Amino acid sequence: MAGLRLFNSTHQLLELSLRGRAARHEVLSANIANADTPGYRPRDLDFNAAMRSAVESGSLNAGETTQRGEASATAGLDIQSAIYEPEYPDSRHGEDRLDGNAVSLDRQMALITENSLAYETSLTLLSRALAGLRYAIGEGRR
Amino acid sequence: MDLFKIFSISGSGMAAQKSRMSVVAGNLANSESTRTVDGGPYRRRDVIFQAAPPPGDFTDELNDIAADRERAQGVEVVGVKQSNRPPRRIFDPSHPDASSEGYVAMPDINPIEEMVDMLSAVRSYEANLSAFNSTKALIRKILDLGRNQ
Amino acid sequence: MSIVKNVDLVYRPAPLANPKNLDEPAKGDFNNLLKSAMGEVGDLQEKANQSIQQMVGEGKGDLQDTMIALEKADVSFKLMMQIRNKVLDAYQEIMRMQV
Repeated sequence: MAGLRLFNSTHQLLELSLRGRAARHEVLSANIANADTPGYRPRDLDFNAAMRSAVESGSLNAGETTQRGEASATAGLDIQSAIYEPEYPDSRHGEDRLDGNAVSLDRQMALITENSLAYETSLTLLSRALAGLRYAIGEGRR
Repeated sequence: MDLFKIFSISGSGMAAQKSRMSVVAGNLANSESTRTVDGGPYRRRDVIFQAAPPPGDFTDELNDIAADRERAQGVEVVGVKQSNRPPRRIFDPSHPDASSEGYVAMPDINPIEEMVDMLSAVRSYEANLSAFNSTKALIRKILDLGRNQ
Repeated sequence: MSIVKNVDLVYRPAPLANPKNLDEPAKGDFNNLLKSAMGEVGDLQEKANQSIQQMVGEGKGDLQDTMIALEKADVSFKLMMQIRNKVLDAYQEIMRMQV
């Protein structure tokens, strides 16, 4: 029996996903800021790949995680290697603009909206999970 | 990932689009200007954008470089370029700036082109504003964590 | 005598305080558990404090990490308080016991 084990792998997973979503939000915001910069190629963050590699690297072991092991788990999200330059099929057929910029504002806006909602989802789930803990600790009061 | 840093990225985008708009407005306003301080008619101006990391903490920047981390890029206006399109020559001998043959050198500014540029700048500005607002919403949301149990 | 022996064979209550346990507490000892849990709660509080200082003092650090650290510290502290209340209740219950 080691410690409280109050927070489990689900909490850590949600925490990691918040990090990943925030990082993606930054990347997408940068694309929008550079929507008119000549030669700029849009970038994206493969959120699923980042989460998968974080889970597979074993930093999230169900039941084994303690607060002390947390630092290594949260460091397990490799954001840098998940950033890539997506290849959009429609930009290969001459939709590319003359200035070499391949940012499509509409697509980036759609992505950023989707990502924000996913962030709020993770946040709400984490909020609920913590509220559940509080409820249990308070013996069902409140 | 610091959510607050995203503000400076979207902010740089809005600032850049705004200076683009003011340059376009200058072009439109001067579409008939035959005199400038440099002499000759007004020449169409264009802003040059460049991707640049947002200004941050010096140690942060050093750490990022040391760790070979790519920084998310904002945008900055690196300069305003004068176009080298030749001026339009219009025959108007009564004009005070007419040459001895009666031709006036007018700036080669196409109002339609400028309006399109202006629209595109407004659209980009709004996109940056939406990104800014969604960052703001995220921050407000995270600040509410644990409050509405 | 033999009856007592037999009873002893059938039912042997665990000693309340094993002298060996006092010297080196076994794993799973409640005392130990409480200590490590206290340590964790302290760690979480410390972590939350550090991220607040980093954010407000130095303008560095991450807002979401700070909020999550705060929440974790809060929840674990509440758990600790609840455990403390329960232990105190149990203690008072024992003190009130008529011998």
